[in-house]
Order: sequence, then structure tokens, then C-alpha cells
Amino acid sequence: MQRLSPYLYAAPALIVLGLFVYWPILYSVWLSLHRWDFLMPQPQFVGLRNYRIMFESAQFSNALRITALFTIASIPPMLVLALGVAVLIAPPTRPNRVLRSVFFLPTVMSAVAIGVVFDWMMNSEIGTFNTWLRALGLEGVNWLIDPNLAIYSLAMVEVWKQFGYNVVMYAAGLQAIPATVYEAARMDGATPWQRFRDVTFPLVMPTTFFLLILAVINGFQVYTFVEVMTQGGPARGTEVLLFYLIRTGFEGGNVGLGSAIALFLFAFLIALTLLKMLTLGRKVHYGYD
Amino acid sequence: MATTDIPSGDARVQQTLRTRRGWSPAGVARALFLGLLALVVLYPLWNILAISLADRSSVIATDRTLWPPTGDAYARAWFNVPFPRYFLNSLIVTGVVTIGNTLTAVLAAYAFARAEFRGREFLFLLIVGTLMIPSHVTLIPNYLTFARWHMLDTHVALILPFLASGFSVFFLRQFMRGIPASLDEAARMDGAGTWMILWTIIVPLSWPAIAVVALFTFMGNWNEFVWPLLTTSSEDMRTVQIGLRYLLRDEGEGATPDWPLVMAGTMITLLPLLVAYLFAERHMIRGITMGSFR
Repeated sequence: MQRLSPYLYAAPALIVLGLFVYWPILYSVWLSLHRWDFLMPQPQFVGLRNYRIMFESAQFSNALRITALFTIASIPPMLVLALGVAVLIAPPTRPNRVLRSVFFLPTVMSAVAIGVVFDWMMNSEIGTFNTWLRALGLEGVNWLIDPNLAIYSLAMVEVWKQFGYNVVMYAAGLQAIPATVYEAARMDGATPWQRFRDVTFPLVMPTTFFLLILAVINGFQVYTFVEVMTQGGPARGTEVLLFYLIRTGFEGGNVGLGSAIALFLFAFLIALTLLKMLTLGRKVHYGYD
Repeated sequence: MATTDIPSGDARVQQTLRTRRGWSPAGVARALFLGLLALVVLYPLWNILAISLADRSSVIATDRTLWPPTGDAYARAWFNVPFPRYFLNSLIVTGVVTIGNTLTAVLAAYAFARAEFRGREFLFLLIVGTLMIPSHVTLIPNYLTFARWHMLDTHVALILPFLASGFSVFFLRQFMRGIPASLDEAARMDGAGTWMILWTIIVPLSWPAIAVVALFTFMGNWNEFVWPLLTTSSEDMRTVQIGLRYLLRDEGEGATPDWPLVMAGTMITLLPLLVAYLFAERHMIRGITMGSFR
């Protein structure tokens, strides 16, 4: 009895995770090797054909390109802004704490709510942004209607949502830099800019790398903003990978191809996660004081 | 002004700025920049509130006036749209998930923190490994699983997959390992069994960590979007997130949304989390920054 009890304690968690996380991965592999839509009575084994269809599909390469654009466009402003702000508000004084809480707020807000309010603000006719632009005598911008622009508008929303998280992570990284290092730099007569360039920037490099990979991981899983604001349009201009996956696997009912897409994205994200773990180890400082 | 025990270099810069009274140009620029950024973050929130209190017809006009405020949109969200139903669904689902997820985590964390058993390392690795697995890969198979069980479009489908998480178990185990084993021993001497020790020693001492796990689970599940979007088909099963999404754009594409109603819905959707953030912001920040090392 006593020897059995640890297993009993761990069982509920293990069963749930096994049933809804590990089993689905195996099931996905099996599904991706079959042709099956909900109309067919029996899945039909097709080998790697779903993967071939995926790689030859113009829609897939479009989705890959759009997702990459979204990710690449959102990362530089997010990281630059976050590091700059973190340097300014790193000392845990009272006003700095308040600012940190304000910047972090979007991180806890639901992506649907954020999508809704930016859908309003980016509305071409009556939205806030164009109202302001017109007030300045400028022409309105088709934020979400221009097929070439829409994905960048969504990237801006991502920056708005994620930047506070990056500030908090950077601030934690900055506080771990020993004061003696700055002391030495000051003794050598380094200007504030030189201190930033030669001390702060290199020493928060592990945090930067961590946040960069995390941003790629998050960027490649963007879905909610697209679903709420643009539905992949206009002209597939915002059809990111996850949106394409769900359109194929659920609305299109092509379970095999959908699973192949899911596993492709899965392999990519796992590779990034492993890279992050291998290169960083314990070098990043987490937490919040 | 509080200062750190180990002031960082930048703390020093700030201090020199502050002692040099009479507002240095750099200090003013810094304050302006940060103030502006805070406005950029807060403006959309203000926008939600302002438009939710506006009159439906005046919002669409280009020369809109948002004064005087009216609570009309909230009344319509509550009485004309089944938002109370969405809210109830979210409360049920998130409530059960938060309690259930925390409970499975407490039990598992206790076993991994205290007991010696065969396969312990491997099983723990399996649990922590789920932190690396992106949820999208489980969507299609889990959908098919619930379809086979004839349980799509039920509360069960919205609850069951979230009843355990690698983060919760990991976080609680780390905390429980810090509780001195001598306390267990003392209780054992007094004749307490493992079950008694868990509830009389470990759980009372783990409250801070349990609170973080519960809060983090609550937040994640309240905001959950993709899974309920895919598995609910009837209006009666929608959570607030799904209800809000359909409030903005129902099947009839191209129609102009009823913006005050949409924003009132947004406000209702955000409210529980905003309140929680107001009271437990530091715990939420800690939970999120810790949770993202996956």
C-alpha cells in the first residue's frame, strides 16, 4: 500500500496529461499518414503524401511567409523598446514599480479583447488612428484592409501586448548585473552611452537571446488576433500558419493534411525550445522582486 | 524612496539624476518618454470604457461626441445578448479548471517532492516535458477524441483537457521541496499518515505557491480562446471570449458592429482579470515570468 501511494498521488495529473498531451501527439503522427475527412468512413493510409501536398502547396508557403513576416516585424521594436524602458525603470523605486505594472497589464488581458479594441482603433472609416490622422490633415491608412499592410498592423498589436513582459524580463536581467562592474566602468571614465554599449548590452545578451527565441516561438503561434481582426484576409494577407492549419483541418475537414501542418510547426517549435535550453541553461535570471 | 540592497549601476544614474534637483533635461526627457508610453498602453483601455458608455448612433458619426455617457450598452449586453449565460459558462469552466488543476498539481507535486519511487525521475520529466509542447498540435486529435465520446459542445470538453498542467506541478514541487522534511518526520512520530501530512503540514505551508498556481490557471483558462472556439457550436455553450468574438463579427460578414455593445462586452470580459490584477499584480507577474521558461 505504502509503495503504491506515490503513484496514486501522481496519477490524476499523469492521466490527464497523458490523455490530452502525449496521446494526441502520437495520434497526430498516425493521422498525418492517412487521408481522412469526416465524410469518409475509414481513414486510408497514404504514407507521406500529406507532407508532400503540404510542401507543394502555395497556400502553405504563403502561410509560412506571412507568419515569418509577422514575427520578424514584431521582434525588433519589441526588444529595442523593452530594453530601453527596462534600463530606465530597473531601479525598484515606487514610481518605477507602478510603471512596470502598467506596462505589464496587456500581458494578462485576453487576446480577444485586445483584438476587438484594436479592430476598432484600426477601422479605416471611424477608427481612432485615422480620426487622429485626419485631424492632422493627413490621409487615413487602410490598416487592416490593405493586403500588404494588414500583417504589419497585427504585428504592432503584438508589440503592444508583449512589450511589458519583455520589460519585466529585461529589468530582472539588469538587476543581476553587479554594481561593481558599473563602478569599474565609471572609474575608467565611461560615458552613460558607453556604459550601456560596453557593459549593459553585452551582459544582458543571454536575456536578449532568450526573449528573441521566445518571441519567435510566440510569433509562430499567433492566431487570435488574426481570427478576431482579419480572418486571414484580405487576400490571404494575414493567413498565418495556425489559421491555415485550422482552416484546413477543421473547416476543410482535411484531418490528415491538418495534422501534417501541425507536426511541421511542432517540430520547428520544439527545435527552437531545445536550442533555447541548450544555449542558455541557467544563465537567464527570471522572476520579479 | 526604497533602494535595493545591491544598487545596480542604473540605480546610481537615477540617484544622481534625482539629487541634482531642479529637473535635469535628461530627467525631463525620461519622464516624458515613460509617461507617453504609459499613455499608449492605457489608451486602448480608456477607449473600451469610453465607447461602451457612448450612444450607438453617435459612435459611427465622424464628428462623434461621447458625452453624455449612457449605460445603455451594458443593459443591452446583459438583457438582449446572452452575455450572462457566457459569463456563467466562463465561471463554471474556469472555476472547475482552477480548482481541479490546482488539486491534481498539489497531489502530484507532493509525490514528486517527498516520496521515493521507481520511475520518479522519468515520470517527472514527462510532466515537465509538457511545458515544451505547443497546444496547437493537440487540437485535431483532442477534437476527434471528444467527438468519439459524443461530448463536443459540453462543459466537460471545455474542462477536462485543462485539469492538469506541467507548470502547476513543477512550480508546486519546487516550493514543497523547500519545506523542511523534519516537519514531516515530527508529524509521522505523532502517528500521521502521508495523507494527513499533506493536508496538515504541506498544504498550509504551501499557500503562497498554491495561490500563484491557482491565479495563473484562472488567468490562462479565462482567456482561453482556440479550444472553446473549435469545440462549442451552440450559443448556450459559449464562454465570454467566444461570445465576444461573435458579438464583434457574427456570421453575417460586412455588417457594422454595434460598437458600444461590443465594448461593453469587452469590459465585462476583462473585468475579472483587471480586478485580480489590481489585487495580486505581483503574483501574476511572477507566475507569468516563471511560467515562460518553457
